[in-house]
Amino acid sequence: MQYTKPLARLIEEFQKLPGIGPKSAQRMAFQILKMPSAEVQKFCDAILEAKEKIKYCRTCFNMSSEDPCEICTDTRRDKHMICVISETKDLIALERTREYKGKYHVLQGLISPLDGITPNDLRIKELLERLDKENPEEVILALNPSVEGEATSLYLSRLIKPLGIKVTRIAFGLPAGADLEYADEVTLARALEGRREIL
Amino acid sequence: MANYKAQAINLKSYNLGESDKIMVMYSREHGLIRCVAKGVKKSSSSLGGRMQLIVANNLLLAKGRNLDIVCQAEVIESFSSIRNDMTKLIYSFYCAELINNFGLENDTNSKIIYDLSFEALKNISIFSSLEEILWTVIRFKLRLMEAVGYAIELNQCVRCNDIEHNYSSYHFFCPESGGVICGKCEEKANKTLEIDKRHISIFKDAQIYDFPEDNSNFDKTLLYSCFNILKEYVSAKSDKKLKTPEMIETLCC
Repeated sequence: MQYTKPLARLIEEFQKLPGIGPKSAQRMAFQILKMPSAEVQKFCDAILEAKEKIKYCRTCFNMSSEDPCEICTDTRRDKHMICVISETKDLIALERTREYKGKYHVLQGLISPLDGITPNDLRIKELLERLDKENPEEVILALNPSVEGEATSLYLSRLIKPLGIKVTRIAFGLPAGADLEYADEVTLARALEGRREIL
Repeated sequence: MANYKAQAINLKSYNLGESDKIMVMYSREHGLIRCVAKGVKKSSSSLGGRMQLIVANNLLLAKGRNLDIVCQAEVIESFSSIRNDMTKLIYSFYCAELINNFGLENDTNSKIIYDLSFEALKNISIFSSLEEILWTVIRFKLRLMEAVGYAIELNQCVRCNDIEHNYSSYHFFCPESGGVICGKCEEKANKTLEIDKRHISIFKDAQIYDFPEDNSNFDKTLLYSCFNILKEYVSAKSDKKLKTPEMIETLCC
């Protein structure tokens, strides 16, 4: 059976979202139709408001409704430390730890030669300008422990080290609570490489 | 659901849903394979490290309706030194892109191509100088192209087969035709690259030896020029535009 035109359009629009196939899109569309009109209106408003108000901070390229963002304007944060991350979702993950009190810089991707993503496609030029202006003591590279993350880290450290700024990288290794027996060889080798003396 | 085993090198990956990845691998038994690695983006996944790019694994795969699923993996070689050096990383990516572009599913030559790829990545990870890395990549490209049916012609003009000339008299390489061409044919060819007997000697040596017979061939400029000639040839034979050569020029030159 063919869907009626507005329903078909709604299903089609839902399918544009990542990870949503035809069946999930159909379920979501039917749920929307079941909801009271006021709830649907609230849902539409939330989408439009987010789209209209959220933009990229011109300093750190984090997604925020303010420009500069809340983190960049927070005077309690340590301006001598900049943590470089690939996506805003990584910033949220780091903020959840409540351990890091410095500032951030979002690259908006990683160098990926196989996908044709070059350093020019990332916010590296802006990072260098920022380092020149703010002159921090340390740059922490908190990038994914993937080959693309490695390539980006190596490239960044090659550019930042000559500026006389300390460049560090977050540690690799076993997740807390994991069993050594089930750890893969690559992770275990990295954990051994990054071992440290017990104080 | 039937299970099967394979030895494979991870070449490329795509995100799938929340925490899965579609892996493109080149296997010794079945050539190019695409399969799903479930939950690899989670920190608790035991497959995470094993599904990183440029890692060779022993795999246990389950036949799926569309894509096969990685059930178990055990690292054969992680080529760990590659990850600590930008140049090694970029040239390894280049090799991975070539395998991905020229590899076929159920390839009859899969054993040869897998062994060539493994040897090349292993050598890139062991070698330290740029000259040695360039030599390895040149050797890999020549042997890969031969394995997929695009061996280059170095002994006679690839267009007119004029075998009366001595090879030292060839001064041009035609990427489209895939070999050296004589002066007469050069005028008719669309695109040619200058070549001399030193290039030809390197190409011939690289097809046979792990290292050059004559150490005087270990000149960075000459090796880079050989690399570029082959890069043009490989690009001419590839269906897709290669993305990594641009990166080599940006980051390694």
